[in-house]
Amino acid sequence: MEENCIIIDHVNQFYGRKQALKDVTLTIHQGMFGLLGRNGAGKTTLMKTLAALHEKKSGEISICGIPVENAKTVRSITGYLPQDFSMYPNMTVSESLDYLGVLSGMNSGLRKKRMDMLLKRVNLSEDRHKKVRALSGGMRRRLGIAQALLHDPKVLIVDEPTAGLDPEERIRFRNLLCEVAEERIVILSTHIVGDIEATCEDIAIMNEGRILWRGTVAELIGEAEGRVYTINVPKSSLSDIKKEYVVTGMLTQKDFVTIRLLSNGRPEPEGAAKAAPNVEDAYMYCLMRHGCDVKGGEL
Amino acid sequence: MDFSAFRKILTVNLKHNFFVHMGIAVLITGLTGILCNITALDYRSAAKPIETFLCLTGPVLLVPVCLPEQNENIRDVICSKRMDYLFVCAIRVIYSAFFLAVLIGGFAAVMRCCESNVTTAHFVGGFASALFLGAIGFAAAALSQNVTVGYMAALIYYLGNMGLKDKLGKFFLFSMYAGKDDGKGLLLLAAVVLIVVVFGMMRLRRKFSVLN
Amino acid sequence: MLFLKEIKKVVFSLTFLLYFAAVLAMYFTQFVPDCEMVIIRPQPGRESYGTTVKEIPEIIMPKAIDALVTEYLYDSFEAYPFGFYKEVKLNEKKKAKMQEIICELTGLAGEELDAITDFDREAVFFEIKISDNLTYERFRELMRQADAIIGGGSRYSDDNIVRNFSVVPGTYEDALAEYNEIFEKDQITGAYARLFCDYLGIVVAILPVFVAAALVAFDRRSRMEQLIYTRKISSAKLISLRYLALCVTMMIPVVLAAIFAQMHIASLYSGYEMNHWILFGYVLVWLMPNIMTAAAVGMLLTELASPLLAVFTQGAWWILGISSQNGLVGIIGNFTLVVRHNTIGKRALFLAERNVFIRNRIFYTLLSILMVLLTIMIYEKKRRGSFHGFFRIQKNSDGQSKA
Repeated sequence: MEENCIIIDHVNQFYGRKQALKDVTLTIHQGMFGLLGRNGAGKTTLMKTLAALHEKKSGEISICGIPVENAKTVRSITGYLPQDFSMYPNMTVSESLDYLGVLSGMNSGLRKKRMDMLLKRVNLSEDRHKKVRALSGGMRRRLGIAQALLHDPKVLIVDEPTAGLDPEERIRFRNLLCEVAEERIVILSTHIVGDIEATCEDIAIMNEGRILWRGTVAELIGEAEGRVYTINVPKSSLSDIKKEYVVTGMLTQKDFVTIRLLSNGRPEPEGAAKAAPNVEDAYMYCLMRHGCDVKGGEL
Repeated sequence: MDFSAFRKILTVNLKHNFFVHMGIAVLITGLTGILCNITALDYRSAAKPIETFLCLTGPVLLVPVCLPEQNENIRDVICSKRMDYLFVCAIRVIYSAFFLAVLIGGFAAVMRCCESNVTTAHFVGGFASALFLGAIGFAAAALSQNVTVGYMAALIYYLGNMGLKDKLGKFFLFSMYAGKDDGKGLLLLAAVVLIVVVFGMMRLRRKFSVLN
Repeated sequence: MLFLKEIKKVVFSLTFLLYFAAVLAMYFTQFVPDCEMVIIRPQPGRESYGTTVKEIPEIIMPKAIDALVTEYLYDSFEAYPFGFYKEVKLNEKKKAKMQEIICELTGLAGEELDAITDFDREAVFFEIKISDNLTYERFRELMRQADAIIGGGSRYSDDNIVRNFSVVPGTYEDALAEYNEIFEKDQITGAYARLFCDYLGIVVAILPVFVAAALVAFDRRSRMEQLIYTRKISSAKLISLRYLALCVTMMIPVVLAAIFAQMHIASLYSGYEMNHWILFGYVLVWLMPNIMTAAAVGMLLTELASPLLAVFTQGAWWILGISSQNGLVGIIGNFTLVVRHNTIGKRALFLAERNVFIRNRIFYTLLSILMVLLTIMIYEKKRRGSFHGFFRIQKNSDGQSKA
């Protein structure tokens, strides 16, 4: 059992004096796992700690049965794609993959085999002789996922993989991750709720270094059931409503605005109708329920 | 670690991360040969071009050891691999030092052919000065994660040598030219110790402080 | 205000801290130890009053001709063509020309000279005579020709001949005149100001390039470029404000050191009348162009290519400059970046080069302004996307994503 999961037990982490992770406890099983949170919630710190890039202050982490302190072994079974993936700009795509393969301790036969396969899979076969500096944002990200998968890791850690990608690239990337997750643990952090909705079953929500919530997407939505309302209001009263309620959506019409808001009881303005919550509503509701300041708006 | 991996790391780094700096070092060496007199010099004067000019090749070769990973995103990718990042840095330090030795050795040999009184002491002394100056730059660059700071630190130390001269004691880079031969061995040892200490500090930094 | 924000950015950078420390270290380790002794009025009847350089033909001519003949006989001429020592040997054609010159100088016939060459050189040294009808003007002309044959930078060049061959013992009168100059014309501080600028000039001609390059590279590293590119501010305003901020900030430690120096001198000469402003005048005219040049090179080449190019270019310029000077007092070239005057006083020597000094400083000021204008042009081009800089990483060009 332990061999196929990541166990994070009461982990604390500091940036100087600021505590970046506060008593984080999580168990992550095979498949896609989404880590959702605002910018600065501590997602990247947690990811880097899992990739043995940062040392934790206290607590225990075991990755497929291996304590994270054993960095070398951990690194040989994890693949990491940082938020802004970059590689030596003067190397070509295949040169950089080959080099990173060497650093992962792979022999040349295996490197070649895996490189060919992965380049095909991420659709970069034709660009293998291009210099890294000449790649577009999407291509670079695909190179990033290829390097993270190169040594066939049991665990793939992907930090904000879709930020900055166009919608088409984003969908392709999500699909690729889902395919990959069939045979390994994939941890995905994002502040884009759509990513989670499309890919993950299991999620955790982080805020200010703490795990606020842990469960499935369905459970998250279930919790927000009956707390989402839509309502048409005149534009003039919009700012008052924003002060009062958490507004999760807004559509400006000619004379009025249709808004979605979260409320524990029926909201005051006339004509509010219950609506089925989506993941975004549910996420906001979760933050609200845990006392986070989410008034006034968007993610 | 098998040898083929070592060879691969070496060749890739030589190809992508070394040639520019090597070129500059060769240029400095060439200019020293052209601008300074290297013919028929006595024991002491022969130390001048080697100690005062060639020692600048030290920082040129050693400061950029961590340059390819100055971009933190690249650094994260490299550090997330099984191979220890410091091992890659160590390979770079070793080949840089080796090339430094070749340059200074070659230059000394040319001076010898030009009938200057150049001995092994000149080679060792020149190498020690260059390596020490380079180690100072490397330390500053690695710890500040900024190569500009590395070059600057090396240059300030060089300036200090011009001004303070033998007040620097055993750490005076131009001691042979000043007529004091002893202490070069210590300087060489200090350079090696400094490099090792910096490696240790790089390791500790990764361990205890969270960057970015 | 942008100007203050840029100043803040510079002040809190590591490179500036190093620069600050280096400037003060230069002051305390070089200038201060040189100023420990108080200059006192010379007393008559002393054994020695040091040496002085005077253009006295009767002294220069025999010494210079003697040296030239000796070098000719050994066929080994000492020269500093690029400021670096070089041993010159002449080919047959040049040797023949040199022989003609020597014959005219000494009045010897060619055969007589050959005889000396073949014979015992040591023995004939003192027999070198000066031709009877040689005038000083002709002598200088011939020496100029000899210098040209050697390839320039020899001991006989116009710049060097007086300095090399006319060092005479100083007299009480000389010493008194020097003393009076320091106390009356230089008003004490002026005499020290040149030494102050001499030392600090070395540092401020090189280290500002690091500060400037790091400041420009900082935008790049923190990925601010694109954000700044799209702001309303004009490139000219942004770059010139940034440049101004760099120059002003980098004057801070220099002015601080100047204040220390002023206090130091005042403590040495309490009770004397002295000029309290002349030092700051020297600092502005002498050192500001150095800071301006190094900072401009830093900005221009970092924008154009990379901080490394900036650092190496300025480094090469600086080191070739300072190591090629074959004298630390009274020699200022039109293009000398680091102007030296490594002595207290010697006002006359400095004033003799005054016009060159002024031309030189104006040249560097204008050159810096030109480099800043170029930086503005390059920045504007990069902003419009028509130029991305040499040897550097191109940022993601999102437009081309085709997946």
